[in-house]
Amino acid sequence: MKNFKIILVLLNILLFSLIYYTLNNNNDDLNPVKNKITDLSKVHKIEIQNKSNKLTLVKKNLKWEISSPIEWSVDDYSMSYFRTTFTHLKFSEMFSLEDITKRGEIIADYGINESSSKIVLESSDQKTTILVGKITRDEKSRYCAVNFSNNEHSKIWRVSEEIIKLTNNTFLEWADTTLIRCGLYQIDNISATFKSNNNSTTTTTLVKQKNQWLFEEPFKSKANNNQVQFLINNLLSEEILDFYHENDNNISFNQDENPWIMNFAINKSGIKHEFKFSDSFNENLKPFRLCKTSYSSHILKIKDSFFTNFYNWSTKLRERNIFQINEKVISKIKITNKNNSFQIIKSVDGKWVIKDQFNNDTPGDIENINALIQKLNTIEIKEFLSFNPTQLELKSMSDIDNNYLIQIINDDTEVKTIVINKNILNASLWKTFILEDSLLCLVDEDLNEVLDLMVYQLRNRQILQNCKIKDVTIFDLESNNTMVSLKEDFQNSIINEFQNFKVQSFINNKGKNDGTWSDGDWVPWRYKFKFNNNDNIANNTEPMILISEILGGNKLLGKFTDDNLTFNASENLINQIRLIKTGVQ
Amino acid sequence: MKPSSAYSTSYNNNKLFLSLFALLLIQSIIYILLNVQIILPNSIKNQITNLLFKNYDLTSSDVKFRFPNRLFIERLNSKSTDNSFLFENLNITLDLNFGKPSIRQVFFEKCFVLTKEKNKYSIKNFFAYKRNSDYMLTCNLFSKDFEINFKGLLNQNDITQHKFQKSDTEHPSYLFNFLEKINQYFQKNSFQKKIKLRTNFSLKRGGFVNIEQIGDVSHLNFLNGLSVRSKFKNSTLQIFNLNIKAKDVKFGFKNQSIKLFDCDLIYKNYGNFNNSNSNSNFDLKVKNINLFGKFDGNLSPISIISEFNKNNQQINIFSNSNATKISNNIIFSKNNIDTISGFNVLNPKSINLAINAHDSRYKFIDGEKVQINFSKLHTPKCEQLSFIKIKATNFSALESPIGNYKASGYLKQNLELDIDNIKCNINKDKVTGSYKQCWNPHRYKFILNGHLIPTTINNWLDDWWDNIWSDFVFDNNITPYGDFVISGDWTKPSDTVTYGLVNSKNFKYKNLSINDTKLEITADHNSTTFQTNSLLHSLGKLSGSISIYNKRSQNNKSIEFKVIGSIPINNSKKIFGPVVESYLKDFNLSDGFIKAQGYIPIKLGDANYSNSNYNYINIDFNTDKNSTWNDVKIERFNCHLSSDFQITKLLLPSIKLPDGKLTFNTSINNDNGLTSFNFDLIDANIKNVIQSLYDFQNSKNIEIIKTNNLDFISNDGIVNLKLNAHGSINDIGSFKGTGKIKVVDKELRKLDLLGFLSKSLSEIPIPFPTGTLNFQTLEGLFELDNNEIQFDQLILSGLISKVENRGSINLINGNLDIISKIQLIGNLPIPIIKQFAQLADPLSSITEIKLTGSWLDPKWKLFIKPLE
Repeated sequence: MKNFKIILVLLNILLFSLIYYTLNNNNDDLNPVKNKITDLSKVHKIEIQNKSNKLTLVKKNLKWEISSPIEWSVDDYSMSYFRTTFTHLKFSEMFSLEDITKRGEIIADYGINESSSKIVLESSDQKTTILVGKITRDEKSRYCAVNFSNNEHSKIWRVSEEIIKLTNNTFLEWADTTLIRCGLYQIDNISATFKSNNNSTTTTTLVKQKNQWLFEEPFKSKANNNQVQFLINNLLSEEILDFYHENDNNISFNQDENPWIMNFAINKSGIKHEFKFSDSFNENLKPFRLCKTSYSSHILKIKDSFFTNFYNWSTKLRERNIFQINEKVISKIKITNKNNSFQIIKSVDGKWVIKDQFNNDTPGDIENINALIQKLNTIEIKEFLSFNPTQLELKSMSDIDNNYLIQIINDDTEVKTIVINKNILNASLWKTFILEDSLLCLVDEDLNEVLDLMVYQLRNRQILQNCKIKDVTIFDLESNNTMVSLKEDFQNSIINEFQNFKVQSFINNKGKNDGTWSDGDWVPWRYKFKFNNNDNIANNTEPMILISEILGGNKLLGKFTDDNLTFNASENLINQIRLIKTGVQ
Repeated sequence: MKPSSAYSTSYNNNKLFLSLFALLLIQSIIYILLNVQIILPNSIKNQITNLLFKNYDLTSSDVKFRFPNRLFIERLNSKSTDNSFLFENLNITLDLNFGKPSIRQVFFEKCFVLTKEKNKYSIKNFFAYKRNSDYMLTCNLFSKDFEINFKGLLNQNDITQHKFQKSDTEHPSYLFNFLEKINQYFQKNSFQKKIKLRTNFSLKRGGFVNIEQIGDVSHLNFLNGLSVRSKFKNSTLQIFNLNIKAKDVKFGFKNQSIKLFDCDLIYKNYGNFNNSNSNSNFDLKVKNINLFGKFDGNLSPISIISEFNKNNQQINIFSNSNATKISNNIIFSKNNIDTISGFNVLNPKSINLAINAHDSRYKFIDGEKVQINFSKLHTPKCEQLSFIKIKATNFSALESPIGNYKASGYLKQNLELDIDNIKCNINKDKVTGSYKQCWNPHRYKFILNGHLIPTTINNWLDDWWDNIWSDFVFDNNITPYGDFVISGDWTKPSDTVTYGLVNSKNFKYKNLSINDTKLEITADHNSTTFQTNSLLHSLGKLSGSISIYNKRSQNNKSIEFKVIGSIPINNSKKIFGPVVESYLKDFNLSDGFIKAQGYIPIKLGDANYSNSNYNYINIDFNTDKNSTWNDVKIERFNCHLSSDFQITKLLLPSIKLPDGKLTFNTSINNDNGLTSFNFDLIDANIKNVIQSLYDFQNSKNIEIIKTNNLDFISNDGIVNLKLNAHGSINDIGSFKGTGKIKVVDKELRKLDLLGFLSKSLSEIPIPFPTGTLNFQTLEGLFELDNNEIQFDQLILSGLISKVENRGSINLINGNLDIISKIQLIGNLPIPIIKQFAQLADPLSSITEIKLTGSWLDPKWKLFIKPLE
């Protein structure tokens, strides 16, 4: 009986063991140790050490940073690469240190010693140290020793070969090398202060107001937004070449002996980012500069060429458009030269009137005047010659005969006046003095078409402005016969066409009674158009125009009978004449 | 032993024994349960499979249960309208809590997925286990084009509450559709090597997904060095930070491949994109761009930076390199572009970009500087967006000659271009113009006018432009004035229409030298037409039109022409194409008056006879100038040629020869070669006719007569020859007809033409009296039949004697079969004397000469007829 009991006990123990084994074996897919190694979710500190470098990363406020050798932001891509690669490393347990000893081996046989590359992962409850050994015989993996802080017995594991890539990265590969940590649109102002040899400083500051960049100092003026954005983008794209600890003996830079020569500041949402730049240094014939930022006390090495971004802001970033005329607020444009002077005045009802030098008023053509305003708005400064020029500098503009004046007056009495000097020798460059800005500059534009404008070129192109016509009579001057007479009652649509007839452009005021010169050819008048209404027939004041034959398919010249103003007719008139001619035939 | 204690011991022993036995039994049952898989009844099986995959049509092998919580399914096949999948060796461990059972662990060896697009995926070694409220997941996804290894954490709550509770994402097909989209992208970008990716994710009330590409950089990959970092906001899994970096990305479309190097894309989204507090930034930086295909070369680095929030909606485009200085700012308002401003300064010399066009490779741009500025309009009008100013200095596009260009215009809100002020100076040529470009459709309109050699801009435009000018040769010192309107659609080259006027002097069109003309040119996909009212050449004035039709569908070309005026034939043989040139090539004629119209194929044999409206020629031509036809001299002639390419009729009613006149009319059936002609040579000088024959044989390189010494021929001989014949032009021997010849010459016997007769007569051993064999006239009717000229009475007559010939001459081999009857005094015109002469000339009655052998070497035989 007793034996039987013993047998029962033993059988129970055996079965229990089997059940225990089976239950454990049921979860064989779960290898807690293996998963524990690659689980980085709770890790807050990582140490990576190879033969030459040691790097420590710490997690602060859910963000990883480098804490040594110097404190700096970590490059997010490097961290992401580490996490992804490390998580996918395949660890497989080989044997314990005891097993090795039993086999008559030592751990160094697996390439694991004090100088082995090392990854240390620290979490709140555990510290895991992975010492990377030599490559396995199949050259697909590496041996490694994994120690857990709460388990003294480390074991030899086999791990994917990729682990070596994780230990080989240098500090520069881990560090975020962006010099300026700002976004293009976050910057509210920038300023660059240069120190001269006598310790005086020159500061140029630009501020952004309502998406418009403005010079704040040394002068107040509009800056060119695109140029400023181009500059800022260049600045933000700059990368750090190398890092030095502030006490690093490797840099032969002494702040007392080599003072910072330029101070650059960026204001981003009320936070100031400052950068101090040294003079240029040379290393293996490669020039570089040192920079100290407000981000840390470390000294950074940057490309020498980066510094060129800070030169000549006054001219490089300044708005080069002389005029920025807004048609809604403009009141008057005045154009004057030695032969011609007229003003284009906007009346209360928005219409334009041209007042010539003899105070004659001519209604203006809204399209041509708008085109003139647009043309003025596109005049750009090619080169800044002088701010606040001296009398000597202005002397070259003393030849009044070759001077032109354009003045823009706004409703709010704001005035912009420019004096343009036509350089006979170099026709493409115009010396220009902007009076209100006291700025002397060169303009490389074809200004002739603006400055040599005649009043008639801006005249209203609708020839029958205030005259309601009843009929149109067309005479053929060649046969001296009436070609056709169009009555309002019968040819209403054609009469309407003539009522709204608008010339394409006014060419000159040199038309003759029998024809005009055009491109060296004499063009005789072929037709006479008489526009009648009841009133003007009585007092013989009906408007009349003389028209040439259709030239070259789509050209027609004309002239008013009461003056010598010659014009290019519009395509509509050409079509009408073609229709009428066809009808007559 | 006390009984009670003995009893107690016995009782306890029994109790222990029973306990041990019971324990053993229980343990045995547990052990058996742990090792035995129980097949579940179908009702339970269905409940379980439905729990796992709702809305799927499932078929599975037996579902086996093993104590305490494991389910085994060897094969589980599922089908839906979209996808089907097959699991192998599915192994599920359940959490059998008192509440709702949940999955603690899932493992399957393989899962094959077939999508509705017939793409196959497989998921291998899927393993997920529950840790607290999260699932730790590992699996490998394979497709034909990519392989992704997943490892990470998914929050159970996130999955159930925010993902799969949504109706559209409830299906597992949601995942497969997503994969399908990835796969489609991979397939579109055809690449040779499988892309291997590795992801690490942690999605718990937000989280991250990181993706890294595995493997070495290879040019066979369309993508190398991919690294993705994405961060998700709370459990809605809305991306608030996405960084994508790649060493290189290759993609392409028709005729063009693009490879981007060192790409870095950053997307940040703060706040909910749908509400007004949304704030998102999108930055893309590319360090180098390589182009292969139509465009070939490198583009400068580019960065695109954008910001979209309540106050600002803008995009900036930058490029800063030796080749480019670019800064453009695009501001949006209510999702529409509000303004564009910026500068684009290019240094063409540093731009390494070529275009492969017209079977050649051209440097895209070259020169000193190009500047394109966009200015903000202070008071925009008519949908104008910004003012464009373009300036190019010492600039060349597509290897055109270096020039200076200025242009200005407007960019409209729909990004249409309206450049209305183009000024261009190329060498000494000056051109002005305008350019309009729409984008939907891609219509454009160029207006160009000014002095320009049209071929200068050949490289700019497509073949149709080259084709217009390929036959023109301009004098570089006299630049033509042109006025052109070119319009079309970039995406439909067939829609291109060119209309232009060219006023030019001293140029050549297909060898025709033109002194001055105003030429109207119209060209479209189907035809190019040149029309002029006045084309002055050195010999007169011509007007008319030539249209060259390009019937691409039929792969042939036709010419339609209408011409009237003086035409210099020698110089204009090519202008109507090879068909007309083939007619004219034998002529050497300075000029004449032509009135012609026709529609003919450029190549012989391309004619379409089914429609005579498109295949005809009518030419009336006359000239009073000396000319030659195959070196045959002609003094003046007029002709009418008409043809519908089935029947060609050539009427030459009056060809004035140096002496005499020729009328020649012919009609040729082009289908079968049947030809009829009448040839009437009147009073032609024999010597000239023989000279013409000699010249003709020289020009055609054939031999009809041997000698080139015509001195022995008298200058006074006259020939009249009339021949009406018909036959096939393909077989000269087939010609049949009748004719009449009359040759009058004092020294007829010297003619080589009749040499066979003269020679034979002179060799007859009969002592003819002196002067007996001096003939002056050859006259008779003949018949042409199968290469033979047959005659019954071809009479060779002199002052007193005559020879009557009958027989035939074979025109092919020159064989003669002639019997000549000699009448020594038979030609006396006096009737009575003639009878006497016959009596006095018995020889005539009894002698006949039979000529045989060849034309050039005749044999004779004397026949004596018995006296009657």
